[in-house]
Amino acid sequence: MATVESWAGNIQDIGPIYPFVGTEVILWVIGVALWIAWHIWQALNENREYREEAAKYTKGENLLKAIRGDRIT
Amino acid sequence: MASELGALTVIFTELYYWLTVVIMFFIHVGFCMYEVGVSRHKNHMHTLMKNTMLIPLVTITFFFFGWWIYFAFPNGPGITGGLVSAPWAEPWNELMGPHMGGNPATDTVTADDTVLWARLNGVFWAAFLLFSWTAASIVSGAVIERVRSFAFWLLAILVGSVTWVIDAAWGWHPDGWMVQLLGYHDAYASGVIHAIAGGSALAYLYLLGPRIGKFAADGTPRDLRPHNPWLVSIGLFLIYTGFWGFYAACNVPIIDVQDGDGTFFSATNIYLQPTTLSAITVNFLMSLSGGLLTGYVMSRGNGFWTYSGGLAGIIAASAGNDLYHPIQALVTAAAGTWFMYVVHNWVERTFKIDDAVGAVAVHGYAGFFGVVVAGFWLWGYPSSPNEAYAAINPVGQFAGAMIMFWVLGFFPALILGLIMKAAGILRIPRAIELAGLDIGEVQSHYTIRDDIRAAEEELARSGAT
Repeated sequence: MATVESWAGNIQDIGPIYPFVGTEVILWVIGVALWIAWHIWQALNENREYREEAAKYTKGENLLKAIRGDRIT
Repeated sequence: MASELGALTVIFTELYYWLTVVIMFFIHVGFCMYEVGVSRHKNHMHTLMKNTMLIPLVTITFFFFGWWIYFAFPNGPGITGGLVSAPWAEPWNELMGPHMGGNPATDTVTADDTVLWARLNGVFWAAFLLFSWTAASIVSGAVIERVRSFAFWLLAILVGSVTWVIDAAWGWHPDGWMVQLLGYHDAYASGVIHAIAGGSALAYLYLLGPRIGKFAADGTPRDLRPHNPWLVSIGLFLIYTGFWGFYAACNVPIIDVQDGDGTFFSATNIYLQPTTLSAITVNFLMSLSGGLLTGYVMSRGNGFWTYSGGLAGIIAASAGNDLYHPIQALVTAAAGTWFMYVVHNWVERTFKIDDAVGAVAVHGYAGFFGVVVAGFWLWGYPSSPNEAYAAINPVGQFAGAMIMFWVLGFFPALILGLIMKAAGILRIPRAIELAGLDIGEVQSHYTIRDDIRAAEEELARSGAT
């Protein structure tokens, strides 16, 4: 939905120019939800990666190999 | 925007802040280079991503609530009044989006609001946002090579979009309660940005503990030297570069400062007191010089601490750099650099605090020092054009420094860190810290490199020439 239909009129009468003026609160809620969802995804992913990685290092000489810079298979 | 002179003034101001934002971006480039230069090879990507991702996280949260806090909280609220109405800074307000300054679409803002804010709200917001990145990024460097990204990013949002903004509303706003009651003066943010960030970093460092190997069994600190001192050098030079934009962004470029009859146009500091770009440019360079000279002497020519000394010098003089004589700026910077270096070494040895980049020292201790010393140099100066407000004084400045470093810096970060620690998500697991923080998808980078090396070795064994 176009907020501005023509630039030919009196420019001094023009206020906001983005589409869907009036939906700002909904947009804010969507933005906040996306922000929180990102943190949840990141935290879950980070914790899973650390669990898996830490478990790998408990096997045999893996931690010593990693410290030396050798590849762990 | 009907008068050409009025339009030129508004559009010049818009362009002025836009330029400061671009220049301040160098601060963040510098911080990233600095941190990666200091970190060890096994932690590069984690270090880089930890700092880089604070950019989007602080940006969106500063949009969602940070900008509004600055305008709504000058009274505390509850100290000199209630919340202040600031519709143009509410994230759902029409003035937070592209706007031509004409008739408002809603009754939340007036025609006067739209005329004033339509072209300036965005660039003001961006300039403050770059301050927010800086505050959060200061903390980032201190905690490298051991903090979990999730725990750091929550702290970055706390500092970048909440606590520093509250302190700006209190002490870096023409009508902030600290300005009114304490006579607080901090023109270029010794306390408002640097002390609070240093205090926040110290809280997380206290809870995290040192990196493995930082201290010998007898408690002697080991020097975990930067893996790439040249990257560190360039990073710090870029931070200096960005600091020029930071100083300019702390000013209002042109405004009528005449009280009563007549007009007199001038630049002002954040408190709307007249100043000039000339004055702060000379003092910036003199305080940089005082810091470099002292850092070199104190560290016996150690590059890391010489550059850091330059930064600490600027920060130590920043609270009063709108008013100091250049030699006062030089001396204040030198003394502040000496102070931060001595305190850093004492804290490191005594409390086993492992501040990887010296951030608590350069920003926290030097910033605290700068706020306090300004109270003596500038004793009796007005803190505001409003004559009803308290004058600058040592007690008010000391109280202000305590609020910045401890009340809004250390303690909120300590509470967040305690929650993270109780949940077991503050520090990287020990085995991973030993092996290196670059794991998972990031580690595959090294796997590919191994594959390439294996292929090259295979070619070599096959006799390829």
